[in-house]
Amino acid sequence: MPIIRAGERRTGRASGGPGCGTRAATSAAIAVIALIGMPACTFGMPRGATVQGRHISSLYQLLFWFAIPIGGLVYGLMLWSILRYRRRKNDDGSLPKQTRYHLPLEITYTAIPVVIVLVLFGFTISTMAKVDKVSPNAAATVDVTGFRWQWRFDYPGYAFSIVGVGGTPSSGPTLVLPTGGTVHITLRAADVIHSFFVPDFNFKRDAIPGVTNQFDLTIPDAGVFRGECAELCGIDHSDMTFFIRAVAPAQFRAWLQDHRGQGVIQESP
Amino acid sequence: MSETTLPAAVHEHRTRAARLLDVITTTNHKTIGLLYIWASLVFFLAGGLMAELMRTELATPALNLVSRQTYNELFTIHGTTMIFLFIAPIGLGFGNYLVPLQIGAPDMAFPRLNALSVWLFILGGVTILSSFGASHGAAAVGWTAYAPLSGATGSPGPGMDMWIMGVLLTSIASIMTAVNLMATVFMLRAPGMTMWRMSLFTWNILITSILILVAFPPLAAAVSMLFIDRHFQGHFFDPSHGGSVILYQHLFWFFGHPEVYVMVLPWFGVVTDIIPVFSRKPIFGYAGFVLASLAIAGLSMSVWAHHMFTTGLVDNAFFSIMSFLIAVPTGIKFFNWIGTMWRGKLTFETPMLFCLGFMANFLIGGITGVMLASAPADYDFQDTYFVVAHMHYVLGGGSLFAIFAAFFFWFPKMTGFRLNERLGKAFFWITEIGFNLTFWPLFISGLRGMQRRVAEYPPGIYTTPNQLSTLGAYVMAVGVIVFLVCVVQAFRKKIPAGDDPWGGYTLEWVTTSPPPEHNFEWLPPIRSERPAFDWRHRETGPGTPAEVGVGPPVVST
Repeated sequence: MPIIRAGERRTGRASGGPGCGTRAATSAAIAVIALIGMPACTFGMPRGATVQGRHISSLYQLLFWFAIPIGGLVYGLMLWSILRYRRRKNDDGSLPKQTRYHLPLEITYTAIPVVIVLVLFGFTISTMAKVDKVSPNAAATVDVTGFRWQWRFDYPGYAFSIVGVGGTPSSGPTLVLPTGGTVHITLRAADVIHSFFVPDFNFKRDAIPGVTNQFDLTIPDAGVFRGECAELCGIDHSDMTFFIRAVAPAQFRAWLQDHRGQGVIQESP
Repeated sequence: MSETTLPAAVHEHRTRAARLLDVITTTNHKTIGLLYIWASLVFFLAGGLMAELMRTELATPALNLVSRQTYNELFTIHGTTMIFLFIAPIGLGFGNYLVPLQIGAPDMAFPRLNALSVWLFILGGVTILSSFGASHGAAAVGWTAYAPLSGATGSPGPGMDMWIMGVLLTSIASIMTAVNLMATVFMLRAPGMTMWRMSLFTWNILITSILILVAFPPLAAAVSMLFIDRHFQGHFFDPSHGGSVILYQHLFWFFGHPEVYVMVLPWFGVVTDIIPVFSRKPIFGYAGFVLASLAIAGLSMSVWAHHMFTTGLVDNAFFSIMSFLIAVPTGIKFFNWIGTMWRGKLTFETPMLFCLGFMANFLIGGITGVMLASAPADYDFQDTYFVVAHMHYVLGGGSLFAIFAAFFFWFPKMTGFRLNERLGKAFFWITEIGFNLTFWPLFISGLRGMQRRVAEYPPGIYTTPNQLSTLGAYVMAVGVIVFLVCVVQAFRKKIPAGDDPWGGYTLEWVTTSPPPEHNFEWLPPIRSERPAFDWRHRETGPGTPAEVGVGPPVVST
């Protein structure tokens, strides 16, 4: 329904027709409907371009499905109280029944939430085991280092590294990874804390000075995904954009061979 | 003492300077409480102005209003101001004013310590805000001031040191006030005022004070270590010299999460004192409410590392389950409030509207809080606008709304004047709409991957949510103007409010508005948690007022 209305309005704008204010109002309304309606499928979180990210997206959707009836119940009870128990115009001034306690009810509304959070915790640890699992035989390993204000990607055994230079909020160096197999990332920081965040993967991990963090990514399909630094690291924090380009394993091997032994390759946008 | 014996005419004609001197040298808990409240509100306006500047910058993807450096300073000092200089201290302000009144005491236990604490707090606030004028600008590290970014290399210049000193001063002030409030509650309750007859605001202030004593010393330690790192080669947080970066986060969040409840528990108490009055019923499940507050306080000390799920250095499972569990006592409170309204006779004066707004907004903050407690889901949410939206629903939609509920509810008691109901309701509706318009779209930009603490973002999917949010921020600014008009008008028109405009339940409503120097000329018998209500309905039970304090008892029979 909103899509049809959007089409009509666009035609109106093209012909320079009257009703500019209405058009603005309608497009604002469409924006609002889209904002509420579009995320309805996954409740706003990307489906996940990695196997791990898909687990996280499923967990989030599950949490949201639990939230809907709970939120609905509480809002419903509030709204009912407001509408049903407001003081009427013909009120006789008498006091309502001065109820203070109802122990069975109080035990119920304490016990049921305990059960709910234990169930949610069960889903949480099972997802966490899948997401945090580090495979002993990865298809590829990359050392990622965050520095102020870009990233360095080292491919151990191939004697070259890609170093970002002068990124912007929408441009930066590219980390090439293979699809299909498990990619093992070791994460470090050179100066202050950074955080390796790829929104399409629904995943981030902090890069902390003095600490080596490890995690695995499994990217099923080829594609290009934007990444950013999620931990404030100073004035050009927003320039730490990078891209992940996932290519077929054969293509990835060819790309590695092409770059073998090239040392530091600076990539500027 | 001598002041109370002065005739009213003499009092009126005292010079402005003499009255100012009275305020500066006062040890009276009511004047100190008002100093806390008014100073916090000034800091709130400053923090709000910074928020408006940030929202204006974020209306477009590119940088076009302030520099990156200024933007970083703005969000750092905005967060610091709202947390250290507004929400937490205004709670202590209401606590200072109301706790002695609600327990039937003439003043706080340590009046001079009380005076010292408020001036340390104001000094701390001035130190933090004036750091904008420092040579390298104010601190630009976020309100958490993570090391090593906040170290000498990452943050050169005195702005960062002023932040540290300001936070230390407000921490010391908070600790002093917490000790004072606890001593007052334990030692100065009137005859008949047992612990289990205290108002729920007083209960929650007591529990908040305990949390302050637990939480603020680690904060003071963390920022002191930071200061030593910056100037005296402490290397506490420097891994190249045997230090640990993550240690700062542990210390900071061991403060930071109890601090969330320092900023929320007093307002749970406020809402729990107000809803029964406008429902014409006692609170439903008083004992359960107190136990839930204690459970929240206990659990809040074992959830700090849920702010560190993405560091890979903590036991995510343990901190997940503890964070999940804290939803249970919080949920109990919702049922206390709904149970109180159930089969009551509800009216919707401004304080009640703000309480209902508090419940509606806080619920979203609570539900998203449960989502954030799930560590793998937090791998996505952490440091994005989802977290920003969540915590603004807790502290803005929650605490801020309850602060205004408290302000509208007790303003008549504190000043003796009435606030315009129509303006108050307009303020509520503008703020409720503006608030949701500001923060709901931020959930969406956060889920789409927009990280926090950036002045620029790539054009495209983030633009529309950000523009809606900016529009909402302007709507809220209109609301604040309506609020200021409402307050100024009340002081100009001086319409007497009467001693008990709402039909209040707690002890402060039996004394005059504003209360006399030592609060009570007489006290009703205290036989339940609603002594003022019992006194109004004394035909159903025994009751002659108890005479207390100095001067002749003013008893009307």
